[in-house]
Amino acid sequence: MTVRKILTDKLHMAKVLMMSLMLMLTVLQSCCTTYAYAGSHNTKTGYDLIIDDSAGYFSEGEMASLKELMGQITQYCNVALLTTTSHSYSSTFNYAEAYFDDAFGPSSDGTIFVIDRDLNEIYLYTNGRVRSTITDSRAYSITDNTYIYATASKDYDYYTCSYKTFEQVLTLMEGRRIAEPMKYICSALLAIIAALLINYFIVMFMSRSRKANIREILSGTYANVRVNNPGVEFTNQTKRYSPQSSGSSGGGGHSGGGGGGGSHGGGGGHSI
Amino acid sequence: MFSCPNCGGNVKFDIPSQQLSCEYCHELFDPYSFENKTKDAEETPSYESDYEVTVFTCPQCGGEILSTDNAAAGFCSFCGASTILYSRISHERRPNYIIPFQKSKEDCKQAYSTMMKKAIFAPKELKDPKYIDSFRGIYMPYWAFYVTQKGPLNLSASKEYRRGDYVYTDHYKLHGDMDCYYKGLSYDASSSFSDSISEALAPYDLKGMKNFTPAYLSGFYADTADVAPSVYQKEAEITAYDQTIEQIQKVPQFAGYHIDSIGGNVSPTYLNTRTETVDSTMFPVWFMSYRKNDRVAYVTVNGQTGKVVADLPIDPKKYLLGSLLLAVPLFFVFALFFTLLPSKLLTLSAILALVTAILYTAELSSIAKKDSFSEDRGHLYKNAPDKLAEANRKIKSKAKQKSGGKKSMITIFVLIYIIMIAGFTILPLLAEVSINLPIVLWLVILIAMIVVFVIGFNKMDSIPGKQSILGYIAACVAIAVGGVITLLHPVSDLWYYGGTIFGLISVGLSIGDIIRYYNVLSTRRLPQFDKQGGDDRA
Repeated sequence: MTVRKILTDKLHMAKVLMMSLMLMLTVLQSCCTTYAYAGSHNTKTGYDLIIDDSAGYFSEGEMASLKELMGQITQYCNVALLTTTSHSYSSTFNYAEAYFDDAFGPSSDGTIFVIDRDLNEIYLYTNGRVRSTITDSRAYSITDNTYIYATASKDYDYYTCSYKTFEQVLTLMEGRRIAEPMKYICSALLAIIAALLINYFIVMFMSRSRKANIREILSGTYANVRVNNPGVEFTNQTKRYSPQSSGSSGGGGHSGGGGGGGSHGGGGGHSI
Repeated sequence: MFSCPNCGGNVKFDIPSQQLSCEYCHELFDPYSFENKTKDAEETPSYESDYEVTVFTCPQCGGEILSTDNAAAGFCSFCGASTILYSRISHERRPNYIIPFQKSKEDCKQAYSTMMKKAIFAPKELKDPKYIDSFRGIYMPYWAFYVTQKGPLNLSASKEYRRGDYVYTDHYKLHGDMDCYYKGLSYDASSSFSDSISEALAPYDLKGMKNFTPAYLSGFYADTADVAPSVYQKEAEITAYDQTIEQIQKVPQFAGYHIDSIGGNVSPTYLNTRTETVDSTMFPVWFMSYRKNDRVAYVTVNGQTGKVVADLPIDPKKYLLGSLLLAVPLFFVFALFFTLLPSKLLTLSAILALVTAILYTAELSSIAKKDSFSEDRGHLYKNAPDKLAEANRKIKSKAKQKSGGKKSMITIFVLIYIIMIAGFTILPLLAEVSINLPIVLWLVILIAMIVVFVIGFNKMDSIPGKQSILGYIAACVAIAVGGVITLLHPVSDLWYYGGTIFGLISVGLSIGDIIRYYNVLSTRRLPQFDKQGGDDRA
């Protein structure tokens, strides 16, 4: 009996400890961000999918939902979603580019959407043939359409922001169109202003009457310039000290050619 | 009026044949064959160098035109008024020479129509055949200067070369015997004929000049010479001086020598430049005026060469329609090929607001200058002789700037280069000390805008009609708002788009003002003449 009681007590203690441990784990989980990584490979196309949620913004259900949507994009290209709260790069673009090169290779086709809380920016990076479909302008339009979900006004809804972004990426990859209302409104206004100004310059140019130059005027007159017995007589010589610069002469060689060629991708972003 | 010796019909100068032609029997006559007939009409010997004409005076503007025909004239070419002009017989000083009309009215209408095909925004009235038919052939008085430079040439010249750390200059005297002349440097002698038009109508080929006989005026009108030749004498001499200096440098013996006096403040008399004679001449101009409210536009065609010079107002409706049509392809270009970020759009709208404000200010300055006739020496001579010296000074300095055009261009390029170098040096430094570059840019735009506004506001007093500063104020506010948005850097794009739209609206307002004032700039104040008639030398 005593042994059984002791055993029961020990079991009870173990249960309490387990419960406490689980409680602690639950508390810890709710307090700390959880690093989540998911990936898959589209065997038909050979393209990869990566969700690197370093910032721990997404729940499992959200990850699954995003993975399903992004899976459709792998029919066309590699795709990745990155979240971060800290990195060492000077811009979100540089961060996205470096990640892309590591994950997919510098010459592959693909897109990465970055939620960068370090620099408070979202960025849609594209590379390879994808750039002809998702141009920089369209990448900016997409982030323009979705940045609002990642702001305080929408309670930092990063899931919706990411989902809507990839939805629009998919729309473009499928050959359909996305809404760019402000772009068109501003383009229209700018076009009207530019047209008014261009026409003004045309009118000014057309109304300007060309005045005859002196040669044309003189051609209509009786003009004669003749110098008989021309001669030149030396009078004196003056000199002034003007040292020649020694540093500026000489061959200069070729400069290094700058940093061209390194950057291959592009995209568009928005501050959040 | 000249009558046909055969049938007594009216004879008029026939341009294709360059003879007088009878309107009834179509017989042709040498214009000089009517010379004695004119002299018969002279009443006293004191009128020997005069000829009899009918002077038509406009009751509205006081403008005068002369004719050998006494048929009533039904409209005034200067102010465009449709009215019966007062007429009186007068004796005018006889010009020495005349260039008879070479281009017929049909040629003139054809040249004008060709030009108007390109003037897509011009009011339709300007293309109306009835209006175009109102071209009137007028002989405009000009002074033709005969300037000589004769005698010994003695010019300082130099050659420069480097040897080691020294630059050596060898000084020389260029000498010779000058035998230079310029016969026919011409300047318009009518105060009612704008200098800007006469300069644009040039050149006339004075080799086609004939001795004057009143018969050449038959069928045409003539303006009176009321500006003294002394107004242009200095300019004629400076032109001769500049040309001779330019030509002297082409003399093979003087090649390679730099003439020291060029660019210096040298008097024309330096090359023994002298005005020998000033001839009174008549040059042919087809003239038409278009009056709208209190403004008038002139269309003139050189009656010898067919060159058209026209004030071309625009029809705002046509302009707006044309702009909307042009906006369509531009929209596609912007939408397809440009990435228009909200922050960049905001900056672009501010820069456009500044550019349009500068254009508006430049336009106001041009109107103020045009309406004050500050560069029309003929007008100033009659109406504000005290301002004539200032006008001559301005024109001289303008000519100097023009002759130094190449130097100015080099200076501009050097300045741009220095600014670029300074910019590339200063900008990284500013970035290092954490100065917000966009804010600096906005401050520069705002300060520039305020300066433009102040300059434009000061010009407003001399602008006719309703004065508008709405575009200025809107541009200032738009730039200030844009600056604040950039400074606060809000996340929401709506702020940037709102600022951009506000900026573009301010640009639209400024352009509206620009278009409205363009029609003031492209037309002229209604003339008000107080002519005494005749040449001041008479």
